[in-house]
Amino acid sequence: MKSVTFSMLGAVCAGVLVLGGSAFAADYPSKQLELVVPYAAGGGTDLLARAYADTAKNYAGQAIGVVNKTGGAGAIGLSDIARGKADGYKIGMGTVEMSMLPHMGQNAAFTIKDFTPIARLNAEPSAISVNKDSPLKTVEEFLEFAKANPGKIRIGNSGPGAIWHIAAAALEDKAGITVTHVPFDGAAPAITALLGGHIEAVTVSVQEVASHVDGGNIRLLAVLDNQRHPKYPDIPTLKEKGVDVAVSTWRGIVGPANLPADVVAKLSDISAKTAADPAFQETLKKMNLTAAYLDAAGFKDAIEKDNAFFEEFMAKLGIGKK
Amino acid sequence: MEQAAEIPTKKTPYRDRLIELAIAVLLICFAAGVIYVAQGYSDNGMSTDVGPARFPTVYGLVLIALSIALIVQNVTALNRGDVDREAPPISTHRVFLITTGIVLTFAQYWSMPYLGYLTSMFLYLCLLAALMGLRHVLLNPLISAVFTGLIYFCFYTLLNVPLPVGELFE
Amino acid sequence: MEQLTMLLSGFATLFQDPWTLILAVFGVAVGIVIGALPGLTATMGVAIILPFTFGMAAVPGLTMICGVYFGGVYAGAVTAILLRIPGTPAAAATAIDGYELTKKGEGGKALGVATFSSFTGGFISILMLVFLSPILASFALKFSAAETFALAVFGLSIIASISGSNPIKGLMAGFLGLIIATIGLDPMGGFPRFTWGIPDLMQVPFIPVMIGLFAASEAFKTIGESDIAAKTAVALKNIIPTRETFRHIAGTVLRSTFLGAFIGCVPGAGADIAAFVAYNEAKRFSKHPENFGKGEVLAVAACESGANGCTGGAMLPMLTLGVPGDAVTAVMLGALTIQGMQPGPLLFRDHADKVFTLFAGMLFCYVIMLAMGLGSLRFIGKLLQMPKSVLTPLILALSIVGSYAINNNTFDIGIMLVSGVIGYVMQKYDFPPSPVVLALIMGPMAESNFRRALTMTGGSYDFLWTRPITVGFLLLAAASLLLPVVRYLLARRRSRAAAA
Repeated sequence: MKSVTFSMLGAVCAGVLVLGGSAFAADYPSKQLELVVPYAAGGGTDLLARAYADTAKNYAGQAIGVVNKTGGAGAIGLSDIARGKADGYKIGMGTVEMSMLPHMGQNAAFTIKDFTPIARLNAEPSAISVNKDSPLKTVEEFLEFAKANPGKIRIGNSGPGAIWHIAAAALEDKAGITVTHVPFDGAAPAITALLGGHIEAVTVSVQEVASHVDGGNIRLLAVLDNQRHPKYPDIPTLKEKGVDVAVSTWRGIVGPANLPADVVAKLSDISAKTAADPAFQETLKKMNLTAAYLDAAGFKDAIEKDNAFFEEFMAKLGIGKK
Repeated sequence: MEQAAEIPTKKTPYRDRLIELAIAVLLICFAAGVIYVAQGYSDNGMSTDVGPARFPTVYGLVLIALSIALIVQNVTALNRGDVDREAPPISTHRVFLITTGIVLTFAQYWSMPYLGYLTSMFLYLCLLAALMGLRHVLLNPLISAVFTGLIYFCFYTLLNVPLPVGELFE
Repeated sequence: MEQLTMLLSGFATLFQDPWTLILAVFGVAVGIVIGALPGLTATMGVAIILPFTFGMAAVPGLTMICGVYFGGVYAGAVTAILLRIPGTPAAAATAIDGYELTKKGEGGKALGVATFSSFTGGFISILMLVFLSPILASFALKFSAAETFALAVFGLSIIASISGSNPIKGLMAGFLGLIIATIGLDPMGGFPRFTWGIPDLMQVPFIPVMIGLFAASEAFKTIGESDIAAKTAVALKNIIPTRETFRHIAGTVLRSTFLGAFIGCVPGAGADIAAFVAYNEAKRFSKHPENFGKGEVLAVAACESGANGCTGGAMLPMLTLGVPGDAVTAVMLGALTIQGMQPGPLLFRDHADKVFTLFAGMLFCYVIMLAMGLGSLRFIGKLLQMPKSVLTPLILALSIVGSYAINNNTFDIGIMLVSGVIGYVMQKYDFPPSPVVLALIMGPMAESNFRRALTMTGGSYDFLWTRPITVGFLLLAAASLLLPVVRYLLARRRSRAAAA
């Protein structure tokens, strides 16, 4: 509830703030906008982008074309956004990978400084999930077992160096346990392996396991967030249990660096109105996504915080080596 | 196609045997390069993993072994005289056509970011059709324009593929 | 037979709703066009059509998506057979013998067989989805990394049977493909291999490689042919297979359908793998394996019924467990979620009526696909009557735009062209291109699952011989790998004995 109030407040604030600015950008946007999605059509990021474009076009007064630029685990599309002309007609869907890829060796041609954050749309916290038949019923039992049997618990993640790998590593670090990390090619195969009983746990997001939790095949033990998940208020956070880890993935609208201030203001206004639109919120709900609107300033802070966190952790993991 | 029926009796031309030897040597060098580069890959520190270098190295070694087998196969065939020394010479006209065609295709690829899809594809189709013998003053540009437009319509309009506009026109 | 009653009432609901029927027809048509265009796979077709279904009710929207899926999987074969352009990766297997048939002037027969096999494979697999879900779903979850690794090794062993006349050359092509498949991020450590700092190389886009090896290489070859004005082939005839042909292919089609459905169930294995495995098994069971690769109609039947048999199989774990069977069903899972029909065990309880109407819609889509396929073949056949100087530039233009369209990235066109040149050289010196494609599909699957299995067992290699499914697949792999080699050695000894 609290987070909802916050985002509403944020939306109102952003709306008020940009009202003054929008007068200067009276003629922007005067043609179709391009929204670059760094992931394949049909995926979660793509669906969110299309839902955003569908609602936002009413506020922008212009069509918004979604363009998928895939490849390089998101690096291709994100570089494309960063290299885009800073005129406000090319924006993109920024994801948590924006703050992770720069620390993954030599392959990212950007850092977070190459983007202008505009608005965060959703955030999905990681959670410790186990199979329904697992003997580990609570997070205390889980941590106890892991402490007593180092390396016995195999945690599936969505890929080496991907967000849920970092989540499991942070859990290891903060809880003082040792687990075996098993990377999969995305979250879905990791969940499949958990359902089949081939691994002990996954640290993918609550959203990704939600349907299996509702179906009774997967049990949530704890959420890696600062507050409890609105959909599962009975599930404790790790923080409550004295392990201070919070890892979330997020998606939001970003543009290239050095966007003119009036363009940023106009885009923030559009995004704030879109995020508050009932139709958009309904789509998020259907996709089990958790709305977590942040305005440009708040989004920027969140990205910077994540960036520092990932820089430290990925070095620790040895992911960014060479 | 007409070759398929006579495969059992057809002998490999002498020239082809030599080229196959060259291909095998080239692949050995390639595989050796792969193995060499892979040795520089650091281990990821996981004791239970074989590391990033293992698979490319094994593949490289097998490719070297297979290339050697191909060399042996060809050298034995040459020694046995199992070659066709009367194969017709390479037609220079054919080589010219294929090389020009490939160069044209690469030129289209390189020019598309600058000229944009419409211009570069139209020019490419005109030149390629002309190369292949369609030199009619009207038909050639007409067919090229129709194809360029049809593909543009299918991909850009219907499937929302953002074909390059070209830096010249941006 | 509770399912049968449900299915019948599903049909009743379906036929009361003309809008759904129209959308099904439209979906199949879109799927056929997308599948036939190089570079655009069934996965992309489904993703492209998906946003249009957001505003629709669940059943019509999902039926249309299924239509695109089925049409896309099928139509890849049309261009593969006629022009050697595999529209989808699964059709790379169909192209091996399908194009040989076209060159023999039997393109019409190949297309007819492909259409009927696709229909039969798909239709039966949907029936399996309706009636056998509970049994097959539990099977899908048995597949852990060790089993998937063994399946990939089995898939790779098929290289031996698609190697053409000289197995050494086929294996060389295969291992070259395996090396190319390691380019990009290492699946276990995220370590960039052979990328030289180029982000475009972090994931090898294998569809441009396939388009280059098959379509562009063939087009380059055609440029050099002297009788440029010549028509590519005679008009298509005998599209409807004769009763004799039906009898000839029936066994192969059924076997391939079951294989396809079974492979479809396995998470992470899709129509491409199904098509190659079906090819391999058809050859193994054939009385004349030597005809494979030279235009064998059984090969076309096997690949197509395998690939379409996969569609029902892949949807099975997606619907019953909420676990996608392949890339297309991963997108469909999103579509169902957005429609408020969360796939998984609750789906059949909460939305049984909608699910069975959807099943009826799927069967209807396959019937439409058969009708449309047969109806459009004559028209498509006209394409072949274009002079080569018109057709070849069109093929190259489509290859270029198709490669670009996968990721909207011009770099991929470069990959396609380089592969085209390499493919031309390979073709000229009798190195078959299909092992490269197979290696690109299976190589990453084999490596990542091998290393994953190793991590999961704590570094012990026991998984190679303690798990029955794994052992079974590895034995099958050994058999497929050795059989053609033995056959080749025997044939050589015989021919040398005859010569001496």
